[in-house]
Amino acid sequence: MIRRDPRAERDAMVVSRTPRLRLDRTHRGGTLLAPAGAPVTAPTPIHIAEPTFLEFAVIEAAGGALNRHDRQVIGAARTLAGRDAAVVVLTPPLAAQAPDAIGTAGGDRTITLPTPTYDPERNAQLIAQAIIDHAPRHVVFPESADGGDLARRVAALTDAVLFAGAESLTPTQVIRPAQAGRVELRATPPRLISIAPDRIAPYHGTPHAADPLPAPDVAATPGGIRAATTLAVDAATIPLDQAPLVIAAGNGVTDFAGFLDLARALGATPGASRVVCDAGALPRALQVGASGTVLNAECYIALGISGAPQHLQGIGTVEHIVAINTDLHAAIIARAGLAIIADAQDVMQALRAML
Amino acid sequence: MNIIVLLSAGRDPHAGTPRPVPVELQAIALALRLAPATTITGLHAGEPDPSVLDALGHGLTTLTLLLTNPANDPLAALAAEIDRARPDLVLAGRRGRGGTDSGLLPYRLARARAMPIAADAIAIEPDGNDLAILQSLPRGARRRLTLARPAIVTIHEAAPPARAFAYRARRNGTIHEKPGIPAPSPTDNHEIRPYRQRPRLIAETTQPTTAGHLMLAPTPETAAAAVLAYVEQFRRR
Repeated sequence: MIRRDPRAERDAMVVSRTPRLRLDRTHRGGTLLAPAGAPVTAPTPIHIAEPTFLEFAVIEAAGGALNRHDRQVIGAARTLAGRDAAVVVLTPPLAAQAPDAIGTAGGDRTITLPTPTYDPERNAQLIAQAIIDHAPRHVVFPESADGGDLARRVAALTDAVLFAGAESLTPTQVIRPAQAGRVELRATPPRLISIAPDRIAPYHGTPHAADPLPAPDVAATPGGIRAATTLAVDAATIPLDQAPLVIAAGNGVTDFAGFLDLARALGATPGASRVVCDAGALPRALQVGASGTVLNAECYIALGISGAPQHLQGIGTVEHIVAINTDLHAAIIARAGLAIIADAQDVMQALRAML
Repeated sequence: MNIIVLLSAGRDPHAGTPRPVPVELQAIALALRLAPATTITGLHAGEPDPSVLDALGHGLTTLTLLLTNPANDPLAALAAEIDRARPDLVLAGRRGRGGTDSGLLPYRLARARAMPIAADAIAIEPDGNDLAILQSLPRGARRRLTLARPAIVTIHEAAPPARAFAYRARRNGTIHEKPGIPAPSPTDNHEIRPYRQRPRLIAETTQPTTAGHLMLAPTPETAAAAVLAYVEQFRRR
């Protein structure tokens, strides 16, 4: 027999007691504006001065900024570390605005790997040396192209088994698929783990204070990779679902030749809303949304798109959105990181003139 | 050029029946672009699995089988055979499909034989005494690497397609069977369960989060400058 506790239920509904009691009976958990005059204080960062043990998170930080997968890697290391251990983030040099991004993502220490060019052999040596120096309990890698490559190099160097592509992770158990995805392997977390994208939640708690640690010192040896150059890729040829930067035209755009020209000049992959594709102004293959392509872009520019629910589904995973629209109350304005209330056609021409 | 293609016992993801690993068949097709079929050998350590023998029907003419228990660690047997055959290039798929599927073996082999390794190749050309390799990266990007020979290269799914299966070639292929080197597998105290689909994370950005920056009726030039500054902040270099 379970008895109700009306007092506890009521306490759970309390939103605020000052200046008057307010209850949220819908349990939607919405946030309230702070009462007028109350100072807004940022939470004090958590500082773990004397950690009981260390966890390593090796991130890719392409372009000097953390991406979603990097934050998930730090979140996984944070899960393994708990409250008393420190997460050491091993990263290539970050852009100027990024250092506090590590603390926000849950990192307590930062080791910057001083590798100016693509050199996974050298990076693996540095990480193996850092593992010897600091003896972390676990080392978490992203199971991405370069991150997975680095993880395997470190595993081979340290003669350890890599738990590759983990899809579930707790301090006591880690799970990954095997045998052509027909079975899953469960184990207590081994030393080296790589995590699959979009499986482990990033850290959302109070930011941590990330202090720099000295980089490991290893003498450079000539490796087998003699040279490496990244080739320029034509943005128009990238499949829409893989494109990193997408610019899309909606009903507010009338000059579609100019739009495609702008996309070329900006180095962005062109997309379109359903209305534009229905009208035949742009090919159906460019349609973004539930019945078109679901994007995985990092940045999305919506020109004259109001943001129908089906369109917003297509840009669900995009983090950075620019919306240019004449309607202040369009749904996409609420979703955008940069919203501009202006005529898309005019802004488009100004953009083209600036490039 | 003397090429070895590493083959693993593949399984069909749906039926669980023996089925060659597609990316290893693509490795065979890539090897055939580099060298005549007579200089290309398939190499497998384990039992004569039907999925491995089927590789003979996809352009391979010779297959070396190092007979060991499939539960054993194949590293020692493969390393010994590579020492004996002295290949210029060892190709492998980027991940197996049917075993532990961790993609670790080529790296351990590279470490054991002190050979350089490059991942995710989609094209390979000889470049003097080196190898020029085109690497496939996410988002349609490509990277060109120069790798010292002999090297181990893993092949990406975006490589040219595999050759079609030919039954006569499969029957006429030469199979050399040799005893392997029994070695215990690295300790893995895994619990094995049937695979359960777990939901992927939905990006938190699907919810309208904190309000972004709003510009009300700016001039087109101001708006364009703001857009460019915002995009430059977040785009990949």
